[in-house]
Amino acid sequence: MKQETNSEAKPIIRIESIQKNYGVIEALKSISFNINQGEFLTLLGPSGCGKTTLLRVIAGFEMPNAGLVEIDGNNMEGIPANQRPTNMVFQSYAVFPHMTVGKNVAYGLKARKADRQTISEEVNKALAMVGMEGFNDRPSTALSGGQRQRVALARALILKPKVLLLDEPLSALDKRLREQMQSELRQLQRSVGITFILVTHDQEEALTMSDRIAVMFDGKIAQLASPKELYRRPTNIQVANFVGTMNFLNLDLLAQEGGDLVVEIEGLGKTTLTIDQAPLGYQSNSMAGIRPEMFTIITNQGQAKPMIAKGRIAETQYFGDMTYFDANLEGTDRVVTISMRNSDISFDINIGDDVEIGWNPNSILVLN
Amino acid sequence: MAKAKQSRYLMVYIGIFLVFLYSPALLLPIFSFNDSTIVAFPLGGFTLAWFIEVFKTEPLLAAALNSLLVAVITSVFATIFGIFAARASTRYQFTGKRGIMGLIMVPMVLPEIIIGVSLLVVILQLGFNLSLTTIILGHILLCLPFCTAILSAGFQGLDRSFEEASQDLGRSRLETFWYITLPLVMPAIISSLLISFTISLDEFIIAFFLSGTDATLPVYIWGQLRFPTRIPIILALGTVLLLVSLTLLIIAEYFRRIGARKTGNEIKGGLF
Repeated sequence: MKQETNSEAKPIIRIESIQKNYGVIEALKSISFNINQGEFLTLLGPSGCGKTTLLRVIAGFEMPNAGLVEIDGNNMEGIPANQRPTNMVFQSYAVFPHMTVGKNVAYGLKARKADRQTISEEVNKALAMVGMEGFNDRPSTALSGGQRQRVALARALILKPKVLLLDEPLSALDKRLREQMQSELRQLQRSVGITFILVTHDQEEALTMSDRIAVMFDGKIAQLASPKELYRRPTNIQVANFVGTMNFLNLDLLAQEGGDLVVEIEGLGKTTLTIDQAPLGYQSNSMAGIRPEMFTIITNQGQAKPMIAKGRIAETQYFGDMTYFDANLEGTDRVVTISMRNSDISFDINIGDDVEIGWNPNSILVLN
Repeated sequence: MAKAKQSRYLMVYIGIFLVFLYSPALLLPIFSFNDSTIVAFPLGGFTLAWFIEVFKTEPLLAAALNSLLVAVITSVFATIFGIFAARASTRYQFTGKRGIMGLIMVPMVLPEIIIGVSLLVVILQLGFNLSLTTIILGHILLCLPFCTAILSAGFQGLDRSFEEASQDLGRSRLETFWYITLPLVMPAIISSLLISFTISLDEFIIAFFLSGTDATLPVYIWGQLRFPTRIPIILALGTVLLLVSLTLLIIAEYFRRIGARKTGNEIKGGLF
């Protein structure tokens, strides 16, 4: 089952112009993209954006109104869920309450008319894979949330699907367990080499687990990119706001010199940006976006000063390793968020203090 | 304290309520052990003769057998139809659904005498003879709303993702229904069987209108009330029936609760 990176460029799923309507509501508006073999892809978006619908279309629980789903080169049109090479881990886990753990895990294999010996070996292997060996005879009603999650995973993985679909599988777990399961899921995905498609509304979860993230809004994919790319180069304001935090400042275009944009940024002043800092070009409603960690409050006069803006601290939030400051930029009523590692702050910064805020022109993005 | 006074009034109300509700039922077993043929206080000596007499009376046993037959067949069919209705109402959307579900529930509120008379007219007009079969048809109609209500609650409590998970793991719709849906709603099914069995067993009006030469137990009992000497036997029979009914209801409720627990729902509501 090991699938190494050499085949990574081969699409296992091809999605072309998928449309799904519920009455007059367009849940999916002509979505097209490919998912590569062995990839961990996350569908990220707020509730109602269509991410779960898309997952259910791939699984075969919903039939699209138009478009094509191809899995491993086969057109899935008219093929029901039970004949697709995909398996799903449900948000509620759906571990059958009237069966033991072992019977739950064996359920799919029994449908394939495997012999008793094979089934029992495979069940033990699958349970070992998720760290639940010896749980075969436990009633599934006696399991904790995390254990149910593992049983649901084992039950799906035992069938060696081409694609494993995960519908918000971690949302019901508490924070600590969720973080542990995130890293376990990632490791599991690497070791089995199966393509995982995860649906989540948690941007942190998406960033830490995925090879690529498809950010969805309103039935469309707003951006499909690696976590790094998505965080560093969001293509629009909506994506930038959903993935991490970003400050937005008004922007005026003063001149366009060759590929460079000479701009006046509210509170920060005049600067020159390269054209690739404006991925979709400058428009009249464009804003300048900058991440909180790209601002620095100058606490050490000796440190390198790229560009300096002046501001007054309006609010501080202390997080142990980090502190978040809200600062009012001088000459504007704009408040920006600045995040600093506490180890980089050499003196106390309090509400009402006037500070110098360092920033770098190449950390600015022009977004719409 | 006003509150304490209020709660004392409430206790008195509850007391009176319970006495009126249950004392007639309690008199039944008391007089069934009384060795006088006259049903009145003071009680005479203790006897089991009436119970022995119950099991010696041929027509009574025949009527009891008829009742059992009718009740078993009724409960099976009413539950099967109830499964269809409950499944349709909880899983599928179709036009006229509310109207259709409403029609299924109507016999619950319709006076039984009206159901009885109208069924009688229809059956005679169609040229059928009155028999146990006609009673069964009437009873299915009468039990269906109860079965549908119980089973709908069972199907509603079933998380849809169980069925989807089963299909996702490679099982067909039919296999899914057999291996997942049925076992998970089984408590509701058992409870539906028991309730409809109980309703059919002691139903009188419809059975009275629709019975031919074969009487069910309630119809037989009604016929016997004309003979004063037979009354203690009927009381003994009533005592037996009371016990059977109570046992069945308790079993039904027990399974309903198991069902609620199995599907992870809170135990609440129910028929009683």
